[in-house]
Amino acid sequence: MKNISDAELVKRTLKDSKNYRPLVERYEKRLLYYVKNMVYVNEEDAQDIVQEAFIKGYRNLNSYNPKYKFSSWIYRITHNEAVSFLRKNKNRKFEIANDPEKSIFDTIASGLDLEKEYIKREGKGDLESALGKLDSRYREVMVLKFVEGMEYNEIADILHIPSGTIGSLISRAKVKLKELLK
Amino acid sequence: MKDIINRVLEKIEKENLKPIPRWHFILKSSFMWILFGINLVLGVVGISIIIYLFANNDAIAEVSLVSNFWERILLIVPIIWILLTALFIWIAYYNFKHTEGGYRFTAFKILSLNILITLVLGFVVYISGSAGHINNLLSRYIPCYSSTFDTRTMVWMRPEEGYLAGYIQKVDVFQLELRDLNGNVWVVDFTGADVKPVVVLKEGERVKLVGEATTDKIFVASEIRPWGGMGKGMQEN
Repeated sequence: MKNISDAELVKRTLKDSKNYRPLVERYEKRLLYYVKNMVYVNEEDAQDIVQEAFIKGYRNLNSYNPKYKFSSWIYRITHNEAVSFLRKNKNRKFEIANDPEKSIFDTIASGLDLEKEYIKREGKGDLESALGKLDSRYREVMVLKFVEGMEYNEIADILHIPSGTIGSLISRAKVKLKELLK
Repeated sequence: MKDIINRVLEKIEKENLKPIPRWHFILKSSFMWILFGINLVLGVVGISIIIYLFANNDAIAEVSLVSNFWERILLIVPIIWILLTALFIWIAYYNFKHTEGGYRFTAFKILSLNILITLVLGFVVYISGSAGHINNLLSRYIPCYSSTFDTRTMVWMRPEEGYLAGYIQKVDVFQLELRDLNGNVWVVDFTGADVKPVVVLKEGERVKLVGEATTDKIFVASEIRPWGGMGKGMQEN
């Protein structure tokens, strides 16, 4: 199953829903991590969002165009699901999720060209709170670029904005983050 | 982690969920493209009529005596058509943006290309002579079209200022009966009128008159022009 492409798995899933398992397996961890970093929800909420995204993905499988990457497609659905979750729970207060194994803050810090010494000195707290204060559209591109390591065109396909805009969003996000860290 | 996989697959099985058929998405995507096409065509028609109304409007010459600047602008510029065309262009942009892959283009790119295509095709439609036909059809079948959309109607439906337009209903030797564009019937005395050579005084003919309204039913014409065409050019004939 490992060597089978996403597009092929989609084809097989359309014939038999059992073939959806490897696709879910392939993306669930990444999507869970993405959701947690994007909307700052707890593990349980993040799981609900990802589960709903996979169900929506299955229902809309016929709309998937193999011309584009499946990852961008499923991330887009997850993104929409997370946004609608936030809309439904706008009165709830969310806290930044902490993943001891792999920290988003290290990755973003390196993306920002922040020296390790700074992180050591000031701790991750500042960066965490700065990232939390960042506008969601800036946080999204930062997460997709520096945590998910995606290309501009993939990010464009997920956020449904022109790829040229991604570059400027990232630059502005970096400036804003650095300002917040001052 | 196993939880999510099992929960997803269980839900699919338990609720007997099936992927939505492909035709549903094809229909949805086609619908957006059709809406885009319709609004593009409407924008083209709008531009062609705007050019036609400007090209066939003797307003500039006729309203020069109107002292109020804004009133003059309203009589010269087909504002409703311009606003409507801008709306069609915006809706076409919105529809394109929501087609598959439409998000990849910037608003500037889509809008400028849309405006360029609309202008070029609008000019082609005007050159082909279809704009006049479309405008006539609209004024024939849509009540109030002439009085609200066609700037010429606004210019030529000011009998108190000596301008009148309408359809000839009956022709006598020196008099004719005219139903104006608002539906009122006038007796027109054209004894001393300069009837332009292209004007055929017959029933059903649409004409414009310059002269004086002596009562609210009688108009003494000094000039009779065809509905279409520039008055200034006509005077040179």
